[in-house]
Parts: sequence; structure tokens; C-alpha cells
Amino acid sequence: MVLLESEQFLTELTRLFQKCRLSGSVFITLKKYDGRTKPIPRKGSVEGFEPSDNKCLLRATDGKKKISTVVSSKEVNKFQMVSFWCTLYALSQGKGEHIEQWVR
Amino acid sequence: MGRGVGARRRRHLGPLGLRTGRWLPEVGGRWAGSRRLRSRASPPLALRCGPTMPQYQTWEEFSRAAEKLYLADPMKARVVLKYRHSDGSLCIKVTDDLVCLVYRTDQAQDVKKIEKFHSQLMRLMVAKESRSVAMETD
Repeated sequence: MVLLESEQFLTELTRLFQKCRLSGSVFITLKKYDGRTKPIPRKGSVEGFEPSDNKCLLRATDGKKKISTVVSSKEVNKFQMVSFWCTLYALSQGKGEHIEQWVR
Repeated sequence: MGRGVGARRRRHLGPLGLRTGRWLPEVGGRWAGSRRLRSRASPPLALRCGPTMPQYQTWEEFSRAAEKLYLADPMKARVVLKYRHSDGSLCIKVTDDLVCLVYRTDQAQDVKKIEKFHSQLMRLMVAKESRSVAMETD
């Protein structure tokens, strides 16, 4: 699993979509992240770990290649604006009949 | 003894055909369990699967249930999107590893709703607890 910065993640995600244009699926997973970098030990608790509340993990894969990024509250706007749905829209150009619905 | 061999394999299965049954030597030997199995119909698919996995036909039901599932335990729940360009289909799944809610579509208007829902969930996840924004259900 490759951890990337947000711009790089978006670039790689676009590449994933392009690769899976003719066949295959793109999986995107989103989950809340509390900033832990070490696994939870079976006995006792992790010392000096402050769970943070404002992050989430975004992962993408096509079955073979895996990429991921951490989105915090500062970057979430970037992900809303330059969202990967623009990529979806660009790729769905072929299905022309519903394009006007994408325009905000 | 047409059912002999199959019965030997099934002897550890209970009356429902699930692996929770025990031998019943007190009833009359090792074929006792299998004799009971012959008259039982196979259990419905929902019983055989572990977690429940409803597939929703309407977006409103799905979004309400998914929001409830996420708010019940935000750290456990995750959202998975599967996009197939060759089929033009999009599938969204919200799960907390016990319950799994699925909504599939190939309509562009649903895709827009899914995108809005996904963005709202992302905002919920990164918002601090004291200022969490309530989601608007469709």
C-alpha cells in the first residue's frame, strides 16, 4: 500500500480510472482515521498516543495497484472541489445522454 | 443405503445443516444425526451467511440506514465504492464488519447522489466532535 500526498493521490487515481476504462473495477474506500502509526499491543496500551479526530483514510485500488492518502480537515476542501467525480465525469463522456446532470 | 456416504460426511452437522450439531450416540449410533437430516429442508440463505447484507432498491432507504450505521460507531464504519466503467455501474457499500448495506446503480442521477453522500461522510469524518455537522438525508 503506497501512502501518497493528496495531489499525487489524485493523479494516481486518475491513472487508475484510465487504466480500468475498458475492463476492471476501481475500488475506493473511505474510513475515519485517528492518526495511529503503531499497531495496538495485545497487553497494555500505547503510551503517549493522542487520538486525533480530524482525519480520514482514503484508499483506492484496481485489484492490483494500491494507493492511499490521509485527508485532514484542511485538505477536505481540495477533495471536494477537484474531486475524483470530475474524473468519473470525464470518463463517462461516452455515455452522453446524462451529461447535463453533472453540471452544477 | 443410497445416502450412506453423504451421511458420513454430514454427521458433524446439526439438524439445520449447519456446523453446530453434535453426534447423537444416545439416539442410536453414528447415523442418528444423518437420519434426522434427511427430512430437513436446507436453511434460507440469510441464515447461512454470517453478517446480514441487505441490498437496497431505493436511495432514500439506503442513505438513512447508512447514516445511522456510521453514526452508531464512526471508527468502525467504512464506505467502499466500486466503479466499473465497462458496465457503467457504481456500487456503494457501508459496513461496520457486522452489518453491510449495499446500493448498486447505473443511473447518472444516482451517481450524483452517491457523490454528495460520499462528500458529506468525508466532511463528517474530518469534522471535530464538538462541531459535528448533522447530515441531511435526502
